[in-house]
Amino acid sequence: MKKMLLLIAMISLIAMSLFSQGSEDSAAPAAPVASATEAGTPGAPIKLRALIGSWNTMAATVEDRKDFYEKQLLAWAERHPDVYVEIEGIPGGTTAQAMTKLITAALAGNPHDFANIDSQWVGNFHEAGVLSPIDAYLDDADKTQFFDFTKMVTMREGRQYGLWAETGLLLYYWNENISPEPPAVWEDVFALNDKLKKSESDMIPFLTIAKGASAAFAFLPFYWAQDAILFDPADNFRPVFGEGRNREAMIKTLNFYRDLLAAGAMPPEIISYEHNEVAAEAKAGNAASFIGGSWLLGQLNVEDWGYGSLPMYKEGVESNIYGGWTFGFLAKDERKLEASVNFVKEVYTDKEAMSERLPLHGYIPVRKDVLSSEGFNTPFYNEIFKQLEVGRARPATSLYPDVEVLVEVAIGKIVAGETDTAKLVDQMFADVSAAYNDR
Amino acid sequence: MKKEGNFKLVYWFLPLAVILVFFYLYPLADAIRLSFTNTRIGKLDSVYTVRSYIRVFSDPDLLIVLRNTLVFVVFTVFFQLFFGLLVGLLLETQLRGMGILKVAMITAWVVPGVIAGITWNIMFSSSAWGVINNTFELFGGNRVPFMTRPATALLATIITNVWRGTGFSGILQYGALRGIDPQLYEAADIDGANSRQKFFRVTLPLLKPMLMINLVLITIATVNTYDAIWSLTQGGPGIATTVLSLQTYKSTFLRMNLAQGAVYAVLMIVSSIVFTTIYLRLMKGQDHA
Repeated sequence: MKKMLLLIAMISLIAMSLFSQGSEDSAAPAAPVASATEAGTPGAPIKLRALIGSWNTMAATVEDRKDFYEKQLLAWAERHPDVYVEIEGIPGGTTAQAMTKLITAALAGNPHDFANIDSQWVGNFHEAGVLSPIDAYLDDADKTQFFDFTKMVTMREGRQYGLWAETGLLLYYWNENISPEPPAVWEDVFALNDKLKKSESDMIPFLTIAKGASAAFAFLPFYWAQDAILFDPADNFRPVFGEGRNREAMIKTLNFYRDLLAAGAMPPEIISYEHNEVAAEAKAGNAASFIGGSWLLGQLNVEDWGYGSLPMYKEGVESNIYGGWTFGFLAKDERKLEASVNFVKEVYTDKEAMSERLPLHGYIPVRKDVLSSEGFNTPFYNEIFKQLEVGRARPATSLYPDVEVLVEVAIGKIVAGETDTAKLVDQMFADVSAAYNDR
Repeated sequence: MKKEGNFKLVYWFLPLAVILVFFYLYPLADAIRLSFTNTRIGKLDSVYTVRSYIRVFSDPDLLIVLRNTLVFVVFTVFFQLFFGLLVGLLLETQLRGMGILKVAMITAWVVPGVIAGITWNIMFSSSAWGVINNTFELFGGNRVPFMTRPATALLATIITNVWRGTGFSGILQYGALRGIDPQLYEAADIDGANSRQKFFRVTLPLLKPMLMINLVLITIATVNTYDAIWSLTQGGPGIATTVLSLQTYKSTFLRMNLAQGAVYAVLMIVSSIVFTTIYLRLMKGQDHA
């Protein structure tokens, strides 16, 4: 008897829940919504799933960013009443886990329809063959206004698979009270060290970043400046950094780090420093100059700090590196793919959205028409425009993360006392070459 | 009748058996299977091969990683047991403030490894905000670059893990101490035993079973620790604090090499089995003694 009662109760509950669902569906069309987890019109015929960095959604912790995304999402929802987007956020600091999960889901046939993809991970998605081409949904401006370095990552064999949303690059910051003329070449950094030592200053002459993924980020511009490459795109992205001129450049760059450490021009603590830590040392008055992200300028007292090109191994050479996030499209259904591209363009990457959005974050626009517009005609953005002409994006190959890990380890070994940089380069090259051959 | 009883027993154990097979045995078997492939995250096509083992065993850094793991595990386990025993004995005294000590111990234990690593990283820092170095300076000492020298960085990881795990060890020892019959101490008093004799002749022998269980549990937990080390040193400088669990994480999630990550995971399983077997042999030997 008890069992029968229990069964009747369960059937009633299921029936009630189905009924309530049905009555919701038959109600008048819902109003557009915008929140950290959803956008659009609930119950709309096209339902999308998106994976977006939390900082690029209404989950942003800064109020004006949050207000901006609410305004953008509601405006988009008004224009597209037939689309509803379920948003999953990528928490800060979980890039590797989020990208790994996404690529695994994509290979299992259950990915999000579109996703924020860290630019250094795009190569993994290309090689997994999970991205959908979006050329059919791009207009002329989308094809011509993005900087070339973005296309080297988002395009494969003439087809475009993603849209670059924002970037950041490196700047060399120097305290103008200590050094009115910035060091332009490596010798100048050593000269600054000598000058500070002579004046018995406790200031750190030169700081850079050598922790985590940022270690390779800050290292590679010095390497690329010597006309060297990590992988050969013409040969299926075969690693070449341990061969010929590339090997010499890699050794020379590691020697630069080794010699800076030996001379006391750079402290071993760099292996604990990310961008925010070097900025903290600068703000505390402990550093005379440092290399850090372009977004750090807002944290500094601009009257004391100059910014510009990184010091290079010889005069007349400039180099930089571009990070940032793209949007990749994984939907296979054409209607969903088109709706996904429209969402990304209207909320994030078209001229108006990018012009308004990126200054709120301190990120750098990747469209020429945005950077050359009146609002960006400032000394800072003019310098950025110059830097965007001399750098490279990280190579779009699934083996780049291997190089990133090994460069950090190599710098750490130098800090720990290793002096044979040729041995370090050969060990790194053997490791990545083995990974390439085993694929 | 007996057969029916056995059948019922199997019936009741079935859910547990299913959980064990699907959530423990299957992942273990799959990790071993993956170690014999060339699988990378993001690639569907993989082949069976022993190349991942060859790559791992021919890596010149492997010996350093194994040495780091041994030093990290041995010192962490020894000090967690030692300080845990002291904490247990202190709690047993029922002095004032022991409630606060209990809460402090449990708090350290429940703090996630990442938070523990970040907190100790700030404390060990050579910068102006490093409280440990500031204390050294206050007493006329020199600043120690904990994170940039291989030996001090490894020491820092051991200190962090000992701090984190002592609470768990202490609470277990305290529980065991509470279970010792007070009449045994009264009998020892009547026999004229002093405090030292009571500790070595009564307390320690009766604590041994729990000490052994504790030893096995904290050894396995220490072999598996990677989160606190990751947030404290990221395995550096170089690979000076990289242990097997961290190498597994780096291979799998940073380099996307699932096969080599699985090889390191197999090495972790083997090292856990080796440590546990040694302990069990010791325990057995003492039981016979």
